[in-house]
Amino acid sequence: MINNNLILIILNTLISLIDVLLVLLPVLLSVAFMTIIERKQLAAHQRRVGPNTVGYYGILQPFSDALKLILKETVIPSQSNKILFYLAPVSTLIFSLLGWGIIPFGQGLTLFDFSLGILYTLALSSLGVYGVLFAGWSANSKYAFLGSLRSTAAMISYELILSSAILIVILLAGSFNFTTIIESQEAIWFVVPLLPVFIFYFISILAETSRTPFDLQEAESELVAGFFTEHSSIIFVFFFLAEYSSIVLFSCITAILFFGGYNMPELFVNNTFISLQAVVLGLKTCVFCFMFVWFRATLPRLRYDQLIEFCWLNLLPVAVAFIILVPCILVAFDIAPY
Amino acid sequence: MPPSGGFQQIRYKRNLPFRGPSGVVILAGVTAFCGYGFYRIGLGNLEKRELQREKAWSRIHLVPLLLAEGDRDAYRRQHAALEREKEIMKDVPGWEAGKDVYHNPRYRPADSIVVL
Amino acid sequence: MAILRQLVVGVAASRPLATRLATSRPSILAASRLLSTNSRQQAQHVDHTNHLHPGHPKSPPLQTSFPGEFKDVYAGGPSAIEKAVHLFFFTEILRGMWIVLEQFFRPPYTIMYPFEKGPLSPRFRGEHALRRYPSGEERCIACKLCEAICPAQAITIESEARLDGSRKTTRYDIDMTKCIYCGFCQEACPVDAIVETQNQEFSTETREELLYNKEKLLANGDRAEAEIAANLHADHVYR
Repeated sequence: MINNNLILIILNTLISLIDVLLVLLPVLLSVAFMTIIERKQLAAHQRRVGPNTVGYYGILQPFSDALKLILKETVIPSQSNKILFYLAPVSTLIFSLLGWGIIPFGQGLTLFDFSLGILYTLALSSLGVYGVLFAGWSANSKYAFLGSLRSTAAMISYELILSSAILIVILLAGSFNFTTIIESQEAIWFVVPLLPVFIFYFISILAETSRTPFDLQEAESELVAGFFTEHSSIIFVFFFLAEYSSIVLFSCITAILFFGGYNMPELFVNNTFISLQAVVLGLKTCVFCFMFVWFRATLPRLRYDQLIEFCWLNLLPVAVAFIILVPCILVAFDIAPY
Repeated sequence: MPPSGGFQQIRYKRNLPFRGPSGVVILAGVTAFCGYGFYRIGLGNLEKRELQREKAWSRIHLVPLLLAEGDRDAYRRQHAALEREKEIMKDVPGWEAGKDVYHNPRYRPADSIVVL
Repeated sequence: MAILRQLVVGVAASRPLATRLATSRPSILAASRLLSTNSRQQAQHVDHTNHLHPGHPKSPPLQTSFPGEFKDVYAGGPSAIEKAVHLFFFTEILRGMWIVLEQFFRPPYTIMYPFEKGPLSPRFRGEHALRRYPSGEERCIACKLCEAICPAQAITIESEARLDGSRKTTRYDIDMTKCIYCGFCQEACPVDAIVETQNQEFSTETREELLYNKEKLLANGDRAEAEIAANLHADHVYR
């Protein structure tokens, strides 16, 4: 009897582990391919070819890059706080990967259908700031420290806009749960009523993932790397993965919050072995990954004071105005969800 | 040699000839777009509310039935438990099966139900 | 919810009040506009006087200032709605992004270098070569002008007279690691003996291989003679 229970517990744990791996491995692969997609797409925007040597069309480039970075020497500053120095990239990567735990890839296709999913996501994106702070402080280098301060200030500022935009979505859907939000978009994608909100939402996720035009903390063409200046080799890979993972994650969340997630026209709904819903969500995610790189190809970098001013003096009033306007519409026409 | 009369002025000033719809048109378009969106969202939310109401009321109508079924089941199980107790404790002298441990004649439903 | 709905109904019922407010509104608006224009005009009038450069030609005054008269300083420019919409919806950025997207669908300009090569000017200054006359006699007369003009002092020449009386080099070395490819040797040469070919792919694995001697240079010349002659011919009108 006890033996049976033990076996059951072990089996359950194994199944959970396999579940997690089933999500994590494709996510990590997609993150790896996001790097090559970015380079190829940026090249195409600039009428270049981009990496094309490793594998067909350079498709294996991310693996050769990763191998190169792993084979490099790990340099740790002698005056650094070693524990935090290692903890920072690990925590950044873990926090950005944890976000995938509650993403519904299809009806019921989620690791955890959390009723407060959006709060969880926002909490994780706030926790991501700690990795940045740890990295900057522990390296005991003024460049890393200044970079981390700038990153932190920008991320905290833009989180406000991000949460405001998401709050409006919550008002329309009446739920914190991703599945419910997706289901309430069966009426229409939230981007249609919330087009202006989507504009500043997308700006805020650009800043949140510190992408161009808000990537002045990293500014690879002008500065040293920012908060991960002192990190090298495999721990640098962690930061790299975390950055691209959060890009893909936010693309996915954008698709879920504003573009109906895995919803598709009923014409195509079927119950085949392959979940078409997941494919639809993947395609929508790809569109936003494309947008991220497209913005990078188009826009120059903002100055730091412009970045902060744009957030607090321009975006925040607009966000607050919409937070007031949307419930007013919902109440005035009596179309609130509950 | 420079052309007679010198070179032309370099046009360094921002020159973006206006193209596309005017501001009012864009504003009206976006407002209409959002208005349509809110209309559809409204329909969806009303539908959602209706479903919620239906669910609540079906619950409300079902609850007495489920309660009665539960009570009946509990009563049956209680009696079965009493029978079992009698059967098990029949050899113990002075044992009163089903006697209330609180020495109170008031009816109390069973705290726990043994499902056998 | 129900309370809110009642509130909405209540507001609708009290519409007479709202209309009464609305009727009294124009006069208030007009008064406030008058006040604001007044102060603005005065401020600009004071701003406009040029204290620093009294001799500097003044731009024409923006407006004749009669206190109390309304003049729209934004007249002729885009309207406020226009500006707000273009600011909020980032129309300029969208136009820029459209251009970038157009580029995305166009073929790249890239020349796939080791397999494809771009055109080179006939004046291109690459690897050096020593030329010969069609008879096979080397052109170099050991005048040492190239050695003298070489700013990097990469050329070393030793010479002696041959039996037939002509002076020829016994040694003609170019240190390609010193050479700056300025082309002065080529210009200094009176007989077009030392030239720079269009060959730019002569990297080697050791440094010693880049210390060219006469044999190497002559071999280069023999290999690329047709090319060199064609380039010289193409360029001769400018010399």
